[in-house]
Amino acid sequence: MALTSVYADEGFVFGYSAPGLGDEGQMNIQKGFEIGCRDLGIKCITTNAQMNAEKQLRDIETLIARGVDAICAVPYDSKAIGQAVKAAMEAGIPFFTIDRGVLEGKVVITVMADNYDAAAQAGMALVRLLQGKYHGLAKGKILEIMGNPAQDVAQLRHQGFIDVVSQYPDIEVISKPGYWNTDEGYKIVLDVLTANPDIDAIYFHADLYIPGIIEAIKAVKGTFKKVGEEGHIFIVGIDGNPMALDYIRKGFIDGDMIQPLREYGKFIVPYIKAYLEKGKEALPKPGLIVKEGSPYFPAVVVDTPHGLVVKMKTYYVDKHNVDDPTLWGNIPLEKEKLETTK
Amino acid sequence: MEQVTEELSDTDVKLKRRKRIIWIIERFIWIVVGVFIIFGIIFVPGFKNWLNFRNILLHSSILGVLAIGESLCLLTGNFDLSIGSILAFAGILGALIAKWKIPSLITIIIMLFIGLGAGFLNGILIRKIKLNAFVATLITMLAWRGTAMGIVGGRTIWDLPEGLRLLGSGTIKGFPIQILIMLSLFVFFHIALTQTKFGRHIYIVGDNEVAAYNSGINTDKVIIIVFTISGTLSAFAGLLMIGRLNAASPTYGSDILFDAMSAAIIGGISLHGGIGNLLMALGGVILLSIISNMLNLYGVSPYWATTVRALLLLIAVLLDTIKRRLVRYE
Repeated sequence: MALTSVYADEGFVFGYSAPGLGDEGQMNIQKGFEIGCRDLGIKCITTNAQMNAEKQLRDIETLIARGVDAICAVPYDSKAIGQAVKAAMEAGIPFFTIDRGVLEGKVVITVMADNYDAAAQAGMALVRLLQGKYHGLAKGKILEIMGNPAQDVAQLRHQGFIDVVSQYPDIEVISKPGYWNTDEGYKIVLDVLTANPDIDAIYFHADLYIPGIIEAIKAVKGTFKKVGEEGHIFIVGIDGNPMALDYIRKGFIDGDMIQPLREYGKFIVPYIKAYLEKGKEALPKPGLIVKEGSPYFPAVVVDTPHGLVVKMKTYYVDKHNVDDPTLWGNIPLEKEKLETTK
Repeated sequence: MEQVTEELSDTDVKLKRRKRIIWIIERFIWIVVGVFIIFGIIFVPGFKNWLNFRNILLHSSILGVLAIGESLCLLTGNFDLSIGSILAFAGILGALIAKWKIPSLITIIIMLFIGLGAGFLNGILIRKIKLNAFVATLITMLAWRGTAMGIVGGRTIWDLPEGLRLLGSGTIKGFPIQILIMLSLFVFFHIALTQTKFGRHIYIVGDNEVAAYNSGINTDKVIIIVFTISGTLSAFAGLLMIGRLNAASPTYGSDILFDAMSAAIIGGISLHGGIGNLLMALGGVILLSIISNMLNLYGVSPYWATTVRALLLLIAVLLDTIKRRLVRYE
């Protein structure tokens, strides 16, 4: 059964399937898509799967039944989503994903950040900081606070980091799972720092851990030594939200890898529109996409069995460039629009 | 004549033995805690350290406060699923109010009243609207969590005023206030539970609600008060949480319900109501904290943590069944 768009001449309608909207990350990703649609005069219908793979399938069936022109999803389960992809294809509705890819089925485009690369860059940043402390020697003890080790995001952010840091035999890494829970992160730092007072650095998988890390250091050491002070523990991680930028400015943490959360949606919406109007030729070609002035480019485009994948760069921010106005953490949501980097 | 005397002492011996078994079972959780501590001292590097013991108590403080409220609900034969959500909601509201420059003391009082109101609502839904505890507290669990999420749009509020954080992160002569508070609350509520008429009513209602009602106890009042206490304690736990993390997020307390219930049940409080006391719950809280502390110190794969907890919960539930059966015969 092929469904054609009901709003043929009124403009497009896109369906957006969120895996859950209960965290800042997903909210920003959804906002990015919504803003992309808004600025191009496209109507956007959003569904929330509330962290349930089965509900996401039903959400997408609902979007298909409403006859949307295209569907963009952040898969809750990259395998289970295959069914939804199939259903959409059979209905003649092109399927896109952002933030995460699919492990089953073929979508038109996937836009995401390179979590592995982000972790590798964070690893390099910490190696540099350790070398600075130890007069050129890459040595020291790092505590890694992981996300939920069962999820691919945490696995990639772990692997990318370890693959870089393990090349230096004098660097030791202690990895503990925080399950994306701030209080768990607090307890991890509390316990590990007490047993290992010689911890030189902490690497965290998400900004939500930051407050707990700082307070736990305070609880164990009695005070908190800021960036540049004697006894400071290097702290680097991934995400780039306004809270993290604030902590960088205040000298509490050293750096953060900025994940271009709002960019996925803003980038993909024009391509979806172009694909609907002109077909395959409008899609990006495998290779690099360069965008002057944007810290998230060049993006790498790869053709895979699961569709075209666009991997945006993540960008290391420390006290030197924390006030860069193009960082999403520095742009309030109300001010966001499609072309913010020109 | 001789035969009669022998029979009497035989029953005597049996009674004495049963009493001894019950005595052990009631304190079993502390025996398990002891075993784990010995295990930790021998096998876990970094465990044998005064600072680490302090850390274990820090792991326990917030969970402990929640376990008190949850235990009281369990003792009446009910349970409260909304404790984590009330914690988060009170935390978010407290942080927002504090950011508007409202003095910390007033903010704290407002937070406690939010918890009181939320708990009272649970009680009303269960006793006056006649929803069962699961449905009622499930609804409020979703409602408070959703409201907290909606108010701040998933964002975290960070950098809170000193006064608001005092109870959660302050120390007296180096010893964390949150631990002192948690222990004091346990002592206070334990005494209230075992030495007051209201405490006795809680047990009677939990053991047999119909009999309680028939003997003139206002069962509605008892249960509504218990849920109000649980709500207030949840908000207080929220205060401790935002204090020790110096930030408020609508996601706080998402997983803590399971731990609070596990602690109470593993400690020896019966799911059916009427059996157990708060010292047992404290034992359960300390045990869970020791386990999570050991897992942070030892290089175990994270997947084992859940398995160990599941096994302990199984043992505890089995003990619970045996204990119930034994007590029935008294």
